[in-house]
Amino acid sequence: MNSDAPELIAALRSTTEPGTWQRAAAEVGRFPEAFTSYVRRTVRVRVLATWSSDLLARLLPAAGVAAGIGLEVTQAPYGQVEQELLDADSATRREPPDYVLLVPSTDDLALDTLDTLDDRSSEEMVSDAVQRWSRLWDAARSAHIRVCQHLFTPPAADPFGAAALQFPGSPSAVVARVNARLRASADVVLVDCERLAAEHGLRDWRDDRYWFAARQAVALTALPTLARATAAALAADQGLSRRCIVVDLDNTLWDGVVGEDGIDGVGLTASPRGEAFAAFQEYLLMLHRRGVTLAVATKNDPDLARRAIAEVPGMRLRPEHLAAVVADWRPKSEQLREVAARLSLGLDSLAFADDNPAERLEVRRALPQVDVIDLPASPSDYVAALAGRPTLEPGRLTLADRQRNASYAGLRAAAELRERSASLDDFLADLAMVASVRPVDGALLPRVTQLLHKTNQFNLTTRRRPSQEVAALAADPGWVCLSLSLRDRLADHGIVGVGFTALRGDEAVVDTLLLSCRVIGRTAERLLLRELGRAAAERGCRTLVGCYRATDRNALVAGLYPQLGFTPGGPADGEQRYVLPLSALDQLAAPHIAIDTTQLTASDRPDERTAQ
Amino acid sequence: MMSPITSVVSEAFTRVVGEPPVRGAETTPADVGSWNSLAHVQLVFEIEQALGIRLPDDVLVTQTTVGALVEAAEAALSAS
Repeated sequence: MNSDAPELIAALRSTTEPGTWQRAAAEVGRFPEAFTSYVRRTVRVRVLATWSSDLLARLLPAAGVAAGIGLEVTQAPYGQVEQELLDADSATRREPPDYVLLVPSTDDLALDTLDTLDDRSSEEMVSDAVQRWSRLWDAARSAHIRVCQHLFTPPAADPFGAAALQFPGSPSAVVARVNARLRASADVVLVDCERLAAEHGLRDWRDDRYWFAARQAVALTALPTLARATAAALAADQGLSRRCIVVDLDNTLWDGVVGEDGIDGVGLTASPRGEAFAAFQEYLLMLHRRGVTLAVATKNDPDLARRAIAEVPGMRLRPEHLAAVVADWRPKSEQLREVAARLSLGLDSLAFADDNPAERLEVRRALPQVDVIDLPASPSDYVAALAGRPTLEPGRLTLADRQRNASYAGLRAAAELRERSASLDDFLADLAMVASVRPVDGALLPRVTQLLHKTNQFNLTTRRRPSQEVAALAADPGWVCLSLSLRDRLADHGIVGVGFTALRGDEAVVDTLLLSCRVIGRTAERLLLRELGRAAAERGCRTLVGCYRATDRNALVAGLYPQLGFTPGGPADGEQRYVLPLSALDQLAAPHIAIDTTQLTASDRPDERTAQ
Repeated sequence: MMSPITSVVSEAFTRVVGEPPVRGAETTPADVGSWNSLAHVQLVFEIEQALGIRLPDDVLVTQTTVGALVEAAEAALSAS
């Protein structure tokens, strides 16, 4: 049975066919251990629904596995939403899950009572609905439970017909208005059922026979789509989305084989087929603008590949959009390892798209961590193979996501600079780095929380705290919570470092210390520790205590504290402890990074979307 | 000898409910504990998918027999 796992995962990522999903759900339920290697983190989810959600709940674990997240699902009794969240004695509150999944039905809105031509009536209905769900969010928040909210779907039949959205009081418009207001709120994971149902086909989203007979608000044919989107949203919230798409060149980005057909022979302008490849490139470019990193792995002559990327007629992707180009004759799995190493990403951050089934099979066998996308036979279908893929779900976007790509371009230039510089010291000096270290506040919170959840390698303790908890620590006088942003002459990297210390009498315990992998090896950790130490000294501490908690991803920093001159203090609470007297703080010098104490860089301002 | 539709229905039944219809066409939900309303919804869905038909509303009510499902499926097929 175990040998089926890779095929099932591949199927779940690419299809929503109900039969496949039912088989997969049964398989994941019966042999969960066969799928554990695909699960990067497990969370407990409690479903609170106003319709009969059993069949949805049954698909969720399989959907989770496909998205890389383990979902331990329990269900509250049907319709018990307020009771479970507002009553401190409820099962949900007594044993709080990581997430509550709030699953409403459009019938909750009682659209039939709407006086459709009276603006007051519709406004009242909209604000009642928004109030109901916001109050539940508040209750969850105060119980330290994260919320995943399904939005409402418009009714397939509207008395205003196709003109419905021109009338603010039509059922469809009321649903759209409720959704718009719910979307505007930060800090809730949303599953946008309005958009999903439109993609799926509104008329097929719900089958009224099943609603009347069994309170089934979503058709059984649409449940896989809903389960997949829900798991994808949860995985993205946990920072598990793929960050980089690696593509092949020949017959993937352009029409033909450049080594045989020549640079002018694979152009994108000459034929309808060429247009299909151009459309695929345009879609990749849009993903890139959204913050997804792009790279190339191709079996080609390296010089020809580079020249072709720059010169093939009609190319939409330009060399500057590609963070890494690996062109040689090694197996694709080795090329992908090199891409990961060059970009300082884990293999589980990569997705791989190739037209050649043999190459895909080789990668799937050698590197099961990589999400291998089966490009269909026809290039017109390439875009659809990427769209809706649960592994590519965007999390909450911050400006930092978009900046990352600019930063990778800077990294590439830095790598070239490193080759030219005689020594590491010269290299670091050449970069002309400027850092700004600031206490964590409300504006920095989204990015800081994102880093706590996403950073794996340079992360000394890997404590994934929710944003409310970070906000509480930042406001606590017994804690010092700092963020570090860094720019150099090649790129502005934005906020890339976080350090928290708990002040405990004489000791300042470094509870959290992490750096984004983009700036590892730049000595920024010294600066961050020194600033933490200074703040602690000002408040009367005498010793800085470093902690290291080993995970399967952070071996890189196992020796960090000894390297920085800390002395081992023995293990405590499953962590290795190291101490440095604050009188010796000056040994944490970072001579190549200037401190900017005044000016805020543009990158320190979080994205408007998340600041709301 | 089972008719093709009877075998589609009884295969779907076995898959969803977890055991074959113990009294054949006469089987009712009272005979099989796991033939609950949730299983019934799935059963109707599976029959519709397997045969490419749409069953009438009243079939979704659990007060039924395996034989009634087969008859409804035959009627829906011949009407299509």
